[in-house]
Amino acid sequence: MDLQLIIAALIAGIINIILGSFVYFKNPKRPTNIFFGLMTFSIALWNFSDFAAFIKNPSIALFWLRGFYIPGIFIGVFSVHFVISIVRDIVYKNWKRAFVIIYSGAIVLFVLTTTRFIIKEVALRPFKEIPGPLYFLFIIFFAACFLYGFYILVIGFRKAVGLKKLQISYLFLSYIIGLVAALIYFLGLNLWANLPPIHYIIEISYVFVVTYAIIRYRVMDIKVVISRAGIFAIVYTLVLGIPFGIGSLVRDPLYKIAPDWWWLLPMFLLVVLATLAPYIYMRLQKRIELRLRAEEFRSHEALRRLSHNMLRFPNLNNLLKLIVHQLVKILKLKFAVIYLFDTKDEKYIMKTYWRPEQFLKTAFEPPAEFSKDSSLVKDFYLRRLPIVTEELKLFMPKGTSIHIRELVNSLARLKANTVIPSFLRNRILGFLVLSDRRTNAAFTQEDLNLLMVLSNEAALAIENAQFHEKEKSVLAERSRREALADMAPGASHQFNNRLVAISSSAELALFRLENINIDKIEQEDVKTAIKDIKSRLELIDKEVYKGKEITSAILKRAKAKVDFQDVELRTLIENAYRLVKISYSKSGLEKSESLGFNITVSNEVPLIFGSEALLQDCFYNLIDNAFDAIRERMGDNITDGKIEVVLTKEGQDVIVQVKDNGIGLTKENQRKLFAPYFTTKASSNKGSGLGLYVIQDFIEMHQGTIRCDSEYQKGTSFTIRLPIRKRGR
Amino acid sequence: MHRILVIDDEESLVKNIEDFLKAKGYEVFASLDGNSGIELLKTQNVDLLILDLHLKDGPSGIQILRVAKMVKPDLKVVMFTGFGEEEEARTSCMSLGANAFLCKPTSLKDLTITIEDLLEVK
Repeated sequence: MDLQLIIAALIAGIINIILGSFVYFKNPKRPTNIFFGLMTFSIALWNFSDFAAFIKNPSIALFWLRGFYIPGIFIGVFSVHFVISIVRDIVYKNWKRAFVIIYSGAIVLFVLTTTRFIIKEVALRPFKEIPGPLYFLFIIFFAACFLYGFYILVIGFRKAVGLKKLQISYLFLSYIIGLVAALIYFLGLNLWANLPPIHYIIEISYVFVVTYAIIRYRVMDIKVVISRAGIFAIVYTLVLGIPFGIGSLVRDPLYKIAPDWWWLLPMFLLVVLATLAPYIYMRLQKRIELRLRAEEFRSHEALRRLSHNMLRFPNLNNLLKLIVHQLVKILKLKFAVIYLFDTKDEKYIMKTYWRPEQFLKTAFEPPAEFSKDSSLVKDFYLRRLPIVTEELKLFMPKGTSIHIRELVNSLARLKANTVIPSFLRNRILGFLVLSDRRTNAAFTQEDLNLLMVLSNEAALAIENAQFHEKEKSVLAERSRREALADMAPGASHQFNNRLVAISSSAELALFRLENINIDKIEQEDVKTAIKDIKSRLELIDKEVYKGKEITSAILKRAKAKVDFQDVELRTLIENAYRLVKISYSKSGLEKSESLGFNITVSNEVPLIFGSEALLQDCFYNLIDNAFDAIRERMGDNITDGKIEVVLTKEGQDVIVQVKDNGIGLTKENQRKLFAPYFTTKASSNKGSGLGLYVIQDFIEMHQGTIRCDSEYQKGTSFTIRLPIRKRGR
Repeated sequence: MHRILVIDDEESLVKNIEDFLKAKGYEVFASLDGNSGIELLKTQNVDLLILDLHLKDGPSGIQILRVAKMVKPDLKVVMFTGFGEEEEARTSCMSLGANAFLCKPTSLKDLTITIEDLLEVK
């Protein structure tokens, strides 16, 4: 019996030390972990007090016993400290008074334990500690600490929500277990001398439960744990108990019949039951959990259905609305938000936000966008897991890195309970922000698993919808262009005829006036009138030509052909430059030779799939504009003028930059640059203002983009990005 | 004295061209549609034809061009169009024997220069 006790004590003590160190080293700076460590350590030492059974010398045994009882005092102290550390952030009280009382009580007991008032003496073989007259003080102290801790837990439980609440419920469980262990121990001391050391087993269970509550991020629902443990205990008690029970019943009768084989019957029963046991366990567990977790299962089923149905929505907005609506409904959230990555602006933009009727009064507006370098996004790429705010806060060690503090900040701004990333082939397409649930329950591990699956399916559905949208807009654009193409020739024909009528009339009139020698007219008023008429007619003539430019630009746009082929940009740009030079020299500006023009091709620039005519048009216009800008800045002497074209390959695109050191654009003009009919050309000799609008259109027909950067009086640079032809387009 | 025929369905234009060319010393005949135009072509010995490519009713510009070339193979033809530069149209007209292709609006001056060029060659 003594040996039993010692082995039990040893094992219990070692397990306590292991669990205590494990929890402590998980997070050495956190008070919860520190006090748990101290508490388990004290329990271990108290357990070792039973080694006194080994000691032969009674006085040394007594000394040992008393010595190791002292840590026992501190079990109470540290357990209270531990509980307070758990509820500290939700229950605001002045804990100092409590600490003073407890520590003073501990010191008193400390002193008393060294005397014979607590432990009178020790009896050896069988080993038993004989309590002294004041032993009850020890029990009272222990009980007081226990009850006080329990009381604090109750307050904490009432105030807590979510994960914390769950954690505290586990601690309640552990307290009950601990109570049982303590009761058995103390009763055993005073009443039954030879009780086997089952209190150790129970003590260990207590420590295990608390460890679980502290370490695990997402503890299982406690009802589930208890029911599972209960069913397990029942099933295996039956599996073991029935054979033994029957065995002892039939032993005597069977022994008479078959002395060597009587045990086969119980053995057989044991084997059968042991084989059936797992199935019985599973079935029972399923049925009970179906009842217990009925609501949870319903919500899971709903989430799964949502996942399946998402692909049916090709309209992006409807899809997003569906997701947030359904999530709020299924999970009983206060709100849900979806952020999607915008490839043009390169950041995550809030796309949909939904909250049910009763929360419409809250003034909360989620942030409009998130940078792709924010710690939230970085964390997602790193861990590829959802972020649960409570977990982060609970397990955040003191003295945190900037990364984690930023993360907590972002989560606070979002008022999020959980944020779930949506991955599409290694890229984060967006993320789902879920608020606290209206019931304040936390998300279980299964909830989160299902949500992760849902979010990844959503990524597919979103990509599908985005593709649809693009297709639709491309089709719409194409049909618009086709309609325009159909209409434009007729309209411009009509218009051109009107122009011809106007201009030829003016021309004829001027022709007639040519035969008159105006200066010879005698009447002054007639003379002035005719001079005036002549200049007005000349104006009409000039204006007609501007009109012609406008119609040809419109026509060109309308007829822009889908005549695509492999195009070599360098040659194209060189040709465009040559054409610009020719047009300049035609207008008598040979000095254009002296301008510096450079084409740099930085690395292997592949062919572009595009329309030679359209692209050449674009570059012609850009280079022509550059010439004009330089002339405007430098006047006629343009030797310092420089136009540089840089071709590079970047990823899947070719980048063309057309830079000049001309007059540049003011910020104001830069903004309006690509608007139709915008022109900075003061004189109405050139430019109908359709140039850049049309250029942008042509570039977009190639699925490219164009951007302008300019500094007034310094220069301008246009950056064009064109995707490289993909095989089999 | 050279004779010029103008076929175009725009009255104001036809009037202006007629007036201008007459003042420049040409003899001008005009027609607002294809059929009467071709009649004029057959009856009058015309040196140059100014032809609109797109006519509203009756035979189209191309058809008239073909017939004109059949009636008088060495006829000089100036095509006139309001539809802007169209490679195909230009090529088909040239291949059918047109001598010039002008886009509206063109100044009367330019038109006259083209006509003079063509008739001088004769």
